[in-house]
Amino acid sequence: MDELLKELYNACHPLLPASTEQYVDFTEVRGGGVFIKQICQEFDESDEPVSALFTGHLGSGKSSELEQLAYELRRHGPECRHRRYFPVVVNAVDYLDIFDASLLEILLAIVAEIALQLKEKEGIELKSGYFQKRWEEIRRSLFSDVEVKEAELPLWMGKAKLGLKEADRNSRKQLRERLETHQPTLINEINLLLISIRDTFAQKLPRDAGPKYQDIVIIVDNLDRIQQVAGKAEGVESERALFVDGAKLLNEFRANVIYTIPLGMVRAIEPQLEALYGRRPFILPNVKTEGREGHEPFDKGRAKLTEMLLKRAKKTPIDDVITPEGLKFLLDYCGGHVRQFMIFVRQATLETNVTPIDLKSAEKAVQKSVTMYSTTIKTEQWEMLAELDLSESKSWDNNDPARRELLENLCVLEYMNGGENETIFEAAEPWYAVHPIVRELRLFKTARAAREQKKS
Amino acid sequence: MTTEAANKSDIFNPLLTDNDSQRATLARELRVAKGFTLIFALCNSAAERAQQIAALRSELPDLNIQEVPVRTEIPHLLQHLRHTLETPPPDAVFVYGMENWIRSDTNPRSIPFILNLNAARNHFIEDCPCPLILWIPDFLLRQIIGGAPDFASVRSGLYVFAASQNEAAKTIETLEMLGLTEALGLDLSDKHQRIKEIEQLLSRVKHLPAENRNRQDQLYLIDQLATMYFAMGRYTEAESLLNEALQLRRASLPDGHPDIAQSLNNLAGLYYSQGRFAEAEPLYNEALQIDRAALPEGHPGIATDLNNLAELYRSKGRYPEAEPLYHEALHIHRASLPDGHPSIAISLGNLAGLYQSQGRYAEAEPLYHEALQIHRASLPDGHPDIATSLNNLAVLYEIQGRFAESTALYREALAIVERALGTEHPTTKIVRENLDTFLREQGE
Repeated sequence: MDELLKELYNACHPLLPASTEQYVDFTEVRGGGVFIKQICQEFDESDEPVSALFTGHLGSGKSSELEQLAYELRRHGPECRHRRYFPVVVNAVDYLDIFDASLLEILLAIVAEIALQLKEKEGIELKSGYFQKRWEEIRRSLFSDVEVKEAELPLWMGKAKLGLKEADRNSRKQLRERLETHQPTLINEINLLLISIRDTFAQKLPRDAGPKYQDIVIIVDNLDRIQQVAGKAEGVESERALFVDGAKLLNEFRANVIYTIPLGMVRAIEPQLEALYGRRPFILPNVKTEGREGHEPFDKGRAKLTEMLLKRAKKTPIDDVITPEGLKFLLDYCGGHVRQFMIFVRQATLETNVTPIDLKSAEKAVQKSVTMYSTTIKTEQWEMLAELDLSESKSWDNNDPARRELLENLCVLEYMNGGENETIFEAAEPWYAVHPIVRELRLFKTARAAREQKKS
Repeated sequence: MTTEAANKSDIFNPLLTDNDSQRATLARELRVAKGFTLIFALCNSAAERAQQIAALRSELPDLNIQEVPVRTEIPHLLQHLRHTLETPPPDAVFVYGMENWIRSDTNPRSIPFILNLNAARNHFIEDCPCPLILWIPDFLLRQIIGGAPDFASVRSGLYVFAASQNEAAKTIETLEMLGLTEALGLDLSDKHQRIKEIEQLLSRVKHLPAENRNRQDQLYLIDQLATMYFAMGRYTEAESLLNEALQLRRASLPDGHPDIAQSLNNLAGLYYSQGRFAEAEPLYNEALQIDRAALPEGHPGIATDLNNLAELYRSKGRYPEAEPLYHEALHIHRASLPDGHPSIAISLGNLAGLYQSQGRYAEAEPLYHEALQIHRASLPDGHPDIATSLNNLAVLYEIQGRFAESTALYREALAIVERALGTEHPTTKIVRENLDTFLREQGE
């Protein structure tokens, strides 16, 4: 087998966000605005700490985008001109049980991750009598069923030493009840801690060179994956408990914070969220690979995805990697969903022995994803899909659970207008399309034809 | 393998898969993949899965493949793997068997096994440092996408293995045709006797001058004779009779008369049992349309139509279309018939068959049991429908590896059909073949 195929296969791992070398800036072909540039500007210009929401489809590239933001902040890139930031990416699922989470634990997870990263990257050990004293409780709350031999672990060792806790929900509940009464104290203590970090930054380095960092930016990734908050029903009720009822608390940090939030929720109650967080949520739409009206190819978007493929293959020209027909086929059926495109490429490398990857291999690769979509659509949902495909408005009611489910399992994809000429989020207007694979399924075609007939 | 470009609609037909080429690509992925790689291998049949795994092993002799069967409930796959994974880690780990305890009608977000897949997603990289292949029926993929969307979304390959036709042929489906249950219950000499009687009556009716002929009697006789031939497996004779009956009814009755629907069902049933699905489908559809318009809601005749059309969809692998029809049929039967009526058992058995084709074993089993119970209680001893129930339950046990339970059921089923249908009847042949294959495989 061709070495290039092997390398390309392994360079397209669906579980790993893009590395800095692999990162592609899709801004102008996603529409919806310039996330990194605008958030940095807000950090720089705002007197008060910024707390912002960030959302997008599963696998649309949110983590890659957040990693890139962290990279920009750390290297003090051109997007953040004034202040220097120490970014802390908190992977919420490293700490939280996504089916039994609480606001309190989110706070604790943030503290633990800040402590860990300051220690690892800057050699700074946080000193806080309060957290030291509370450590045993925090540890048991975040890592409840893990046996710990060491009696006293410093705060920063939490994740590294203990690993993820696994469902032991009863003992966690008792502990949580005890800690909950401390919640107001906890947020104050965290803020004192954040202020002391800024002070440490300011003290640490020689004046003439200027401090290495001035402030901290907390990026809470994968918070959108929380399915259930303790004591709440799963789904919408839990999401509201977290992002609406919890907004006050999440806004209280004396530091810039970005939280990831589920796309369906943003689409359902966007104005309310805007009021609570003081700014509209940032949305990372899918890359546009086709137009809104007649699914006509959108070449700019396709070129960007091709660029991504080249960065992963570390080879040019593209014709050496994949034939134009093969590439077109993958682009036609990925819907601009970045992870799906990568999975196609990865699969296509297995369907051939030689480069360039040909059309036949591309077809086989796409074929292997069909079941992923065909198997999830319920009988009553075909009609909804047909309706969307035939509608002129291309709008989608995310308050309807059956429709929201289709958005969440990627049978329906969200796109945005705006793009190359529009750089502000206010100009962005979402629209929706049925996934191109779903459009080829027999039951979809039947439902669409039936609906078309009824109309005429 | 042909080399011309694939037909576009074939690419998007999830039912069209070629097991050998799927396996070849999977083998290639196992060679290339480094570290944790999530691969789904969809296979609705436990027996087919075992064959595919054996084939992979022989094609990849240098790879160390560890199999981890999970036939009883565990809450946490990754934790389970932490304890069971060999050191050093194998080149790939195959996990299967969850269909024995996960049901498709349970909310996936209440199944700890599925929830924990999602929760622990990011930890698979460290704790399962090799490709993880989940061998699951397609309903379980749906459950995983529903309850562990983040886990499912980082999958790499997705391979679909169709169950072999042999296995589908092991299960005996029951079509509902007028009088068929009764006809099947007769022993061989009674059947011969009955056929002779009907043929004599029919030839007498036909020799009457047209104006004296009782059209209803004539049609009744034709149907009866066709049913007898059908029960004897003499399909050619049955077909021409059923065609004749349909033509006569279309000519003499107003459009949309329920008797036309009955005639359509009978002819379609015959096509169906010969595997002539394309011819059967429009007839079943027309029958259902007629009955829905002509009969009151919840009439058992509608259930019959639904059941027959569902059987057809199931045979073609169109499971999502079949399921609501089966459910509606069962609902109608339960609401309109007395408890323990054989039609309820037929509905149950057929729905169970659908579940089995989808790998939904945990749901199929109680339905088969109920069907068998009803058949035993409502039919005379030795009725072939009892044997059908026995055979189908035996098949389910066999593919689950529950061999001891399977043998006894096959033997009892065979004894019944041999006595009731003779040794050369297609049903008898199926049961005998099932038992023989089973014993041969067990003997190995």
